Amino acid sequence: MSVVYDLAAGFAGAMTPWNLLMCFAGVFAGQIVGALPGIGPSSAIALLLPLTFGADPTSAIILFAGIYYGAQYGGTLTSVLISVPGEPSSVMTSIDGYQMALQGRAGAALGIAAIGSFIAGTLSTIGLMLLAPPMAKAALAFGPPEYFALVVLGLTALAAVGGSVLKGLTTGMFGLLISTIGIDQQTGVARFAFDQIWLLDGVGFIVLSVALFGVGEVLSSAGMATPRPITTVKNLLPSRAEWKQSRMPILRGSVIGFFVGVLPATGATIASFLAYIVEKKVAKDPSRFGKGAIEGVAGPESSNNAAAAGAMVPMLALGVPGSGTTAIILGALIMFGVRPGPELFEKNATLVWTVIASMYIGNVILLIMNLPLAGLFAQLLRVPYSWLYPPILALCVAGVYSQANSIEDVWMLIGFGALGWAMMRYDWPAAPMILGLVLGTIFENALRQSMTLSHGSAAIFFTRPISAVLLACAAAAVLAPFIYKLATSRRTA
Amino acid sequence: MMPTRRSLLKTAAALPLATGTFAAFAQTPWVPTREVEFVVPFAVGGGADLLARIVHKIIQDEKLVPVPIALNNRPGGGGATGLGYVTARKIGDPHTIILVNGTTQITPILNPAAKTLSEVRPVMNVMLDDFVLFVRGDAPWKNAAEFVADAKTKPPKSLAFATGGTTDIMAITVFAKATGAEYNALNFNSGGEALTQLLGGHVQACMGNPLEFMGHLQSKAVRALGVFRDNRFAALPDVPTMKEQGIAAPNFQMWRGMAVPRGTADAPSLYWEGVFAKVVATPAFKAYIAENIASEAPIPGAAFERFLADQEKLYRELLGKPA
Repeated sequence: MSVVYDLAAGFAGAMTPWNLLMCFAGVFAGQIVGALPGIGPSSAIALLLPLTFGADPTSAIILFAGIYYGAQYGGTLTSVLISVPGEPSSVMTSIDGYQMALQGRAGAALGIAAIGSFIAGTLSTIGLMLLAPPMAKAALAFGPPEYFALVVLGLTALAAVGGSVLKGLTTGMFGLLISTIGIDQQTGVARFAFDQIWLLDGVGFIVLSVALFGVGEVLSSAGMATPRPITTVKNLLPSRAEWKQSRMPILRGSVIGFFVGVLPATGATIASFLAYIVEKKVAKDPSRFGKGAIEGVAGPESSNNAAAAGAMVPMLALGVPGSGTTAIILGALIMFGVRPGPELFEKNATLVWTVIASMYIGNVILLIMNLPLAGLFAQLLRVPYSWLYPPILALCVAGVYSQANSIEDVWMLIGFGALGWAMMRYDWPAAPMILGLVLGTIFENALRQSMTLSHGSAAIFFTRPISAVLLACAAAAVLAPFIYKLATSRRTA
Repeated sequence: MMPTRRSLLKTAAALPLATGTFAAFAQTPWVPTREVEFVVPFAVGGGADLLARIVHKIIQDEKLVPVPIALNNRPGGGGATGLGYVTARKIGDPHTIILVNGTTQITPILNPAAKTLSEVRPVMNVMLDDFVLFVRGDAPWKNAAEFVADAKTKPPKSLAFATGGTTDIMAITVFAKATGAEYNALNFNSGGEALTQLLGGHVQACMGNPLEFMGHLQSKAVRALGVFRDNRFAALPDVPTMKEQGIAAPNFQMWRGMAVPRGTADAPSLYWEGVFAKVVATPAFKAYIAENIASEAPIPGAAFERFLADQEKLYRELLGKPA
């Protein structure tokens, strides 16, 4: 079998001391930038890019890929411990992960996230290896109407994230409204910017998520009459029962993440949202979610890691980046004189297989690094909260400021932070608002692109099979509870 | 005496500097005395940022400037945020240089509240990005003329383009005006996304930068039908220009250049012009242009300002926003 032969050659290339060092440096740096809000893997890679000029392209790509999937591990840390998502893709983790930390189960949350990420990362690397060319072809079937239908499905499932459907839909709609602020992507004209230059780019995703989760949490804890008790850290690792509960979510998260990651224009963030929604839908007792359900950590954390490997599929097999970070890795490849595109697997086989082999090694390094660290970092919660919240607020402000050096973003952080406190106080869910902001742009663009394509006819959404099936699923998700209610009430009548 | 080849080369190398250096003789030459800030009004990792980092690296490697230079990314609002920062703090400051490009010129045309090029003194254009019309490898059209002829036999807007931004749409407008046919344009976030739409068969054509699809061109997954330049590309010798095919489209390219803040004196402006003239002449910069399948285009000082005035007129016309 040629795959075995290619992979063996890849491992031989990846196991050289220099490439092993690059792999370790990549995942280590990724872990750090992942934990810091504001600095993401894409800016870390861009900053390192000039240093790698003249270096061996394979080692450089190993380093960059390591930063990319390493960041998915790092983002978990701050989400679980202090409810500040370091990366957009770990927003969902902070919901149940932080509750687990409050219950003294931070070690279990971080541990399951590391194990889930390892399994998902390894499974999706296998997927990348075996399925890259056919998967990339399948992703091409997604045109604007298909993306529109996918987003509609995500938005209707959005009601499932919060406790109350009405409150969930309301904050979700608010998120959609916020997403319309700034330069309109189709025509380049500013909307709702009130002649303010800093509003031209709209409300940043990181601003809203750090404000609602991080600042909101600090304010509401600080505002409580009784101080939050110092958490006793119970188990440093997940128990046997917790591992059993997490097995299926990890598998489901891996599959969802890989497929969502393969689609260009979607990525780890949407993958983690979808995995959370699915876990809540299939759970026997959905009411546990939001109160420290380990499935709510295992699913999204596996999913965002699988998506990172999935996004490498269109990049390697088609030469088309599936996310912002892979776009920069693609740029790096071009700079090294490697032409990405359909022939990459044949012309640069050594590079591709060495990078794939390094991804297996990198995931092992991350697991070894994270399991002991999980216990160590969980000890942080022994520190009284009154000592913790000033540095947490500082981290929020510094993170938001550093992404665009913009003081206006900091004012927005404070404003939305106050809103986040009020939402927590009156029990309005924050996650649908963030999902609305994320999906709003794709929703609007795909809708307008589809309507342009069809010269204004909405039939395009129903005549194309993939989009018709996705929309039917969305309709079923909305109507199923009503039909169920109707059926049960008739039986009792 | 016959001029030697060497002396001719020397004269040629001095020419771009000679235009406009007249004022410099009257003054003592200026040199920076403290750290210089290089403002990039775009995000880390984009095309504009990569160009800034290459220029920065060449200046440092070749020791063209006696002081350190610090890069400062101030992204947002199509360049307006970064230039707003320059206006607020750096008016007349000769220790500041700024990267400017076609986007910074388009932003205030579409959003009059955003101030960009009016806030700087342009120093030198360094390169031009090209646009190419391309279709799927299995498409029936072999060149742009066939594509246009087919579009004219169908109802208007039957052929759809995928684009990766406002500048690509402007190139389609140029093409449509020159050919008298109407096309449907769908805008995506990036050239990469537009390319996937073409490969998936959701649209019939793309207008974009050659860099974005070179791999696909070599594997014959896509076919290039024409370029908007005077002569064919060295890297794409088989692709005819629009003019060769009888399509009277004006040359359409996107410029990228360097500037200093508004109100900077002549002497520092000339100093920076000299630095950038040396940068664009280095083998490292020429290699960067070749890798990016772009055009070398050093246009210094006053000529750059005239060039920008012409571009502004063209952009306003294409965007339907007369001054």
